[in-house]
Amino acid sequence: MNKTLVLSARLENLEAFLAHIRNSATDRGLDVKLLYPVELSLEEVLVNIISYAYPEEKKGNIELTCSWDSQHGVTIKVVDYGAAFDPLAKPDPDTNLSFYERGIGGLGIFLTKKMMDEVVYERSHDKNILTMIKQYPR
Amino acid sequence: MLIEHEVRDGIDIISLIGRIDAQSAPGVNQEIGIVLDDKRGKMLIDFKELDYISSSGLRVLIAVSKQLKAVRGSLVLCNLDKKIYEVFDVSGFTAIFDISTTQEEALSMLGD
Repeated sequence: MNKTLVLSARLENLEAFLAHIRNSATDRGLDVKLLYPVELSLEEVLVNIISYAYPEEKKGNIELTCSWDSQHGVTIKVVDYGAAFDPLAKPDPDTNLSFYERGIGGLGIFLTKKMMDEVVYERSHDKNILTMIKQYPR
Repeated sequence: MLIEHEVRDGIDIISLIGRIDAQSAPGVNQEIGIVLDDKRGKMLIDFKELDYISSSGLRVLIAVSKQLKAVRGSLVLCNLDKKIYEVFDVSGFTAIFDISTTQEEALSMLGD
């Protein structure tokens, strides 16, 4: 069963979005602690949208859907209606450099790419759609 | 999110309790900033009761580390669980931060 949560793209809604994923895991008897990489990945994506997708005076919505199946684990879909933006297009930070040499920007989405098994961006019908897949957390 | 602070033998011991996400990170930054203002220069941050940290929390740690480096101070992190350590590793942070397994070990590193 897929459940979608729709809330405005504001920082104060971050916890509700993350709780949505945690609750869906708990409903399946999964240990929430195992969900950490998934929750982290989702937060980075959400914070990006909250910060950049909409103008401050006109915050649109974020739609969050998560679905579980026995073959693929969890699939998380995040949709916003902001300007076209592919967060995956940014080059990865060079983690071999010390943080004095590199900026700290871009770390969030880099973590998302590393922690999830698959992350796909598509632009469709004026929507940014980011789909993330993680095999059953172990 | 809760932060506990104690001073032992001139070392600031910060215990992070709960979750550091984008919403709670500014508060954490502010509270550690107040401790840094006392300029003891030695800080231990204990992750034992930290359930969750995102990149916003990692940014706070970098800021803290930079401030301590600026005064030739030192910072040691301890009690990172496996999942959090993995995030540090992927980020390249395990090469940047001094990380120890236990608080005792961290204190002896800072005591030298």
